[in-house]
Amino acid sequence: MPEDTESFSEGLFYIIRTAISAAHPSLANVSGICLRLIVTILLIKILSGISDEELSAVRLTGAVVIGLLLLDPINSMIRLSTNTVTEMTEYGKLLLPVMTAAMAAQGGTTSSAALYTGTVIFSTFLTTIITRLIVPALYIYLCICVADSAIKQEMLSKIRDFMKWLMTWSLKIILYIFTGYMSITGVISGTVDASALKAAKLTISGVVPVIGSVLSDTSETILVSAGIMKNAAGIYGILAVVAIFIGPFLEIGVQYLMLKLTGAICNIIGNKQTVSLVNNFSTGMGVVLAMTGTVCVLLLISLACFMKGIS
Amino acid sequence: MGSIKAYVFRIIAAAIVCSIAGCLLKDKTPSGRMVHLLCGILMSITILSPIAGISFQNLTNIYSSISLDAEQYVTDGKKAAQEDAADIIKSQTEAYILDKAKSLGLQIAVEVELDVSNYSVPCGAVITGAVSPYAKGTLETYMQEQLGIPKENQQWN
Repeated sequence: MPEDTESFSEGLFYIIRTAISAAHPSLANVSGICLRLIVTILLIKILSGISDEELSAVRLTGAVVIGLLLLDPINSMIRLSTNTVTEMTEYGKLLLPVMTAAMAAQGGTTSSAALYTGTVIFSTFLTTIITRLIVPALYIYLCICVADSAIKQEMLSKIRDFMKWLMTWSLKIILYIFTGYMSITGVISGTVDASALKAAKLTISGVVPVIGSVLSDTSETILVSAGIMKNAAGIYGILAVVAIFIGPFLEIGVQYLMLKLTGAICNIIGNKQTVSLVNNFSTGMGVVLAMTGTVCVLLLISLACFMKGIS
Repeated sequence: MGSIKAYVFRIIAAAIVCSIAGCLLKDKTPSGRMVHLLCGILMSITILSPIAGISFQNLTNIYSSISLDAEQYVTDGKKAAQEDAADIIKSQTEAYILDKAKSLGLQIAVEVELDVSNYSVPCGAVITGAVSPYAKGTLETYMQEQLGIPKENQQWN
């Protein structure tokens, strides 16, 4: 992050520019893989064309070669994604207490406690689900995709679809519930805090004339200062979360888009079975992208709720 | 990674067992159908086993610990705000008293005490310096009526 900027947008653009320049080597690497993939699919098509019937040996070899070509990059992307998720969760554990204390100082005692509890519980739950369910399920999904492409079994296709459904919907459901929780908590606890603040102001205004105005001005000063501190911490927090997230996101995103593009090209030149394997791997890469994105979105929503403050 | 490998191996083992069972018995016989069903159940249990590994007791403990943490951070935030407010109120109240003393031609030092449990309202003052009876009376009345510091809590040295 630049040290001499006070502008949120400048900081954000600096992070994005740095991340884009860092994603260049990844683009070159994945381009090479995609080129090899296109050549492999073309070869499989040529070999299949020799015989009238589709040769199972060719299909099997093709699936194994494509699997070997793609398993390594997707494996490194899964590791990158889990590391990013862990980093973001750990950063959240440092940032959220600051935001909670600042919001409590601003008078949002109920809201801050509810927001902190909700965010930490959901992020812990999400991290657990990602590491203990989605990542293993993703490996299984990829293995099943290769096996399905090699031996063409309906049962394998059904398990593969179920795995895909399980991974995408578990992420979606957690995010939906979290967003709902944050909205409801924001409304209810925000109203409670606003009423408490109003009651405190009324009590203060009833005190002796001179000291009453001193108390009132002081409480106003403290509320405003705490608000400024909270928003500053929130803005830098958002920038930090984006800085952790944007590099891996671009790297995974580039690989995802390149695989999609390769899939589209292969649709023209390749066999249905082999092309569907490439498409399934790109879906897997999409899940990796979604995994990273969900944790980031969860933290950003939480920070936005903290920054919104008391209604 | 170790647990993931173990999970993948469990799935592969279950799939091999199911395939062998499927090969040994034909689907159309009643026993074949039963074995097919059992294989389906075995595969589902193996695939979904990580969900069973999530301990709800653990989640309850985590919830209690997170709630305690939240309370601690809220208390810290409130305490910091109260301390800052108390500092401002104390210095401003002392400034008001010194201003009034200056207008009466007095050279005094003042230390204000606050009631922290009641919005840090000033509740006492220690005034040090040479003061005439008239000026003392005026300042006493001012502190009681304008600043809410009762005469009995005003200590004159």
